[in-house]
Amino acid sequence: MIDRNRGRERKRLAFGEFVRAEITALTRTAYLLTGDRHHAEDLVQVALARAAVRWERIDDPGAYVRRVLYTQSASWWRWRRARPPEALTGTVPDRAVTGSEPELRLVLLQALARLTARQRAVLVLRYYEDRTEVETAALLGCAVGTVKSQTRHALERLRTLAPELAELVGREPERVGR
Amino acid sequence: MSRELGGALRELAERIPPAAVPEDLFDRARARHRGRLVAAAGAFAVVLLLLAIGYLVRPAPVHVAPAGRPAAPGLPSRLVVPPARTATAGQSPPGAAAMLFGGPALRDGWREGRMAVVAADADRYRVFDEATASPPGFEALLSPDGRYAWWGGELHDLTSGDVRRLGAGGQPLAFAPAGDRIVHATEPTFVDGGHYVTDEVGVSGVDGRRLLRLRVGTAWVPPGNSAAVSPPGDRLALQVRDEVWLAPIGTSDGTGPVGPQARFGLSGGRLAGPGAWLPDGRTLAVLDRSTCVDCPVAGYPRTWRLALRDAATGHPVAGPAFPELRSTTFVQVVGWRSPEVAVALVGVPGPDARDRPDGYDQAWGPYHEPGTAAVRLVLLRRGAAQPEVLFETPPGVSELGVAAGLAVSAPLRPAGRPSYGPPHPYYLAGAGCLLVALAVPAVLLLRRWRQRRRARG
Repeated sequence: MIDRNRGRERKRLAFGEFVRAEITALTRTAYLLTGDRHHAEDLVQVALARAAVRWERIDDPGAYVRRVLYTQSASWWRWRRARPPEALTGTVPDRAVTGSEPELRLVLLQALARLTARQRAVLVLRYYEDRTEVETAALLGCAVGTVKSQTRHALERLRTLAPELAELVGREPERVGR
Repeated sequence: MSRELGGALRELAERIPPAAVPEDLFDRARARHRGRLVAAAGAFAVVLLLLAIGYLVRPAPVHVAPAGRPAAPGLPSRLVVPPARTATAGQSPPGAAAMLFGGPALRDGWREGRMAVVAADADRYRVFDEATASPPGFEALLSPDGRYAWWGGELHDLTSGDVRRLGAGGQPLAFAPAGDRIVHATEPTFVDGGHYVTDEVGVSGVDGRRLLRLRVGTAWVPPGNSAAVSPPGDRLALQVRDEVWLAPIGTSDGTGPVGPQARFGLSGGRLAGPGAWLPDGRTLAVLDRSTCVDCPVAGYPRTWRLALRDAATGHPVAGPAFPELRSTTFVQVVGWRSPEVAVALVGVPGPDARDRPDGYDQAWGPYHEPGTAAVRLVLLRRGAAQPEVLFETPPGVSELGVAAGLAVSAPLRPAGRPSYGPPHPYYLAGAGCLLVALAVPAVLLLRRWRQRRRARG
C-alpha cells in the first residue's frame, strides 16, 4: 500500500514538472489552433487530462499531448462545439486598409478563424512549429498528399479572405513542396 | 513567405499567457476516468439485465402445424393448469377450443372467476380473468364446435377475441348440438315463501333471433343439466323440478311466452344434460338416481344410471342397461357416438362431498355440483358393466366443459407441449414497472454524477 502511494506520488510529481515545463508552448499552439484563448485553455486541459490518465504508458508525453491537441482541434465534434457560428456570404467583407502591426495581427487571427480546423492545424505545424510535411502527416494521422493539398488550400483561402496578408502568405498561388 | 508567416504566428501566440491548470488535474482526470469506467460497466449491466428480463418475458412461440398438414382437432389427452403468465383469450385468441375448465388450481384470492381454454388443434392455453366465478360446464358453456364460450350474457368468439352481448341475456342453459341455437333462462326472481322462480326459458339463434319463449314461472331452472335441444333443432326438453317439459322450437314467432307441449315425470332423476336427445330426435336420455352399498368412495353413495324415454309418451325404452355410475356427483351427457354409446362428463367426489337430495327452487350461485374434485370424460355403452374412462382432469381442476362436436366425433389427440401465448398483461405491466424502477435510479445517479463532475470542473 505504501509502495503504491509512493508510486502514485512519483507520477504526480513527474506530471507536474511536465506541465510546468510545457504549459506555455502548449497554450500557444492551442491558441493558434482554436483562435480563442478560452478554447485554447480548454483544449490544453483536455490534452493534459488524457495524458494524466495514461501517464505510466506514455513514452514521450510532449509528443502525445501535442498529438491530442491537433487531433482534438481537428475532430468534427470538437470543431462544432468550439467554433462560433459563421455567416456565409458570397463576397469578402470590406476591411480598412492599414498597415499597422496590431491591425495585421487581428486580420490574421480573423482569417485563421475562418479556416477549417484541419487547415489551421496544418499551417500551425508547418509554419509555427516548422514541421516537415512527413512529420505533419504523422502527427495528424493523414497522408503527406493531404498535408500538401490542405496547406495549399489554406494559403489560398487566406489570400482570398485577407489580401492585406499578401506579405505573409505570398501574392501568387504557389506550389508547396519540400 | 514561410518565415514571414511563421513569425506572424509566433507574434500572435506569444501574447497569450499560459493556460491555468488546476493543481489536482492529475488526480481528477484519473478519478473521472475511473468513474466513466464504472458508469460504462453499470450501463452494460443494466443492458444485460434488460435483455435478461426481455428473455424471461418473451412471447412463447405459438406452435402452428406446417402448411398442408393441419393437426387434426380433438380433445387433448392431458390437461395442464396454465401458469400465471398465460395470455388472456382476448389478448391472444386461441382458435376453436376443445375444453373450457376451471377449479381451485386456477383461482386465487384476486381472480375468483379465472378459467381457461385449450385449443382444439394444439395445446394453446389461454385464460379468462373474470371477477365473478361462472363454473365451466354449468354457468360457462363451450359451443359444440368450440368457437364460442358463453357466460354472463356474453358470447366470446375464441377465433377472433370478439365479445358479443347477447340480446337474450339471462343465464346460459345449453347450446343446441348444431351450435346455431342457444337456450337461456331469465334471471331468477324471489317469490314469497323463500323460493326463486325462473320466469321464462328461451331459445334463440346465435345471431340473436328469438325462436321460442317458454313460460315457466313456477320453479327455478338451474344451469348444467336442465335443457337440451334435439339434433334437428326443432324441440326443447327442459327439466322443471321433477319433470321434463317438451316444447317445439320455431312454430311460434317467439314474441310471446308459450306453455309446454308435453311433460313427463323424472321420479327423482334428472334430464341427462345438453346431449340428452338421441340422434333419432325421438328418444330422450334421463338419469335415474339411486344409492350404492359397496361404493368406490365410502360415504358418497350417490349413483346414476342412464335410461332412455320415448319423448312422445315419456315411457321407458326397452334395451340393455347402461353402466352404473357409483359415487358420482353428476352426469352430463354431451352427445352420442351411436344410439348405444353416450359421451358424458361425470363428477368425481372429493373428501368434502355430501350426498344430499336435489333441493328445487333454492337458487344459488356460482352454480356447480358441490364436492366435485375432478371431472371424467366417459363413454357409456349399453350393456357394458363399467363406463370407459377417456380422460380425467388433473388435480385442482374440478369444472370442465367440452366442445361436444369434438367429444362425439373425434378421438382424443395426444397432448403436445403446452404454449401459453404472449405474457399476460399483468406481466407486461410488471415488466414496465420494473424497467421504470431500474431506469429512474440510473438516470438520477447519472445526473448526480454529472453535476458533481461539473462542480469539480
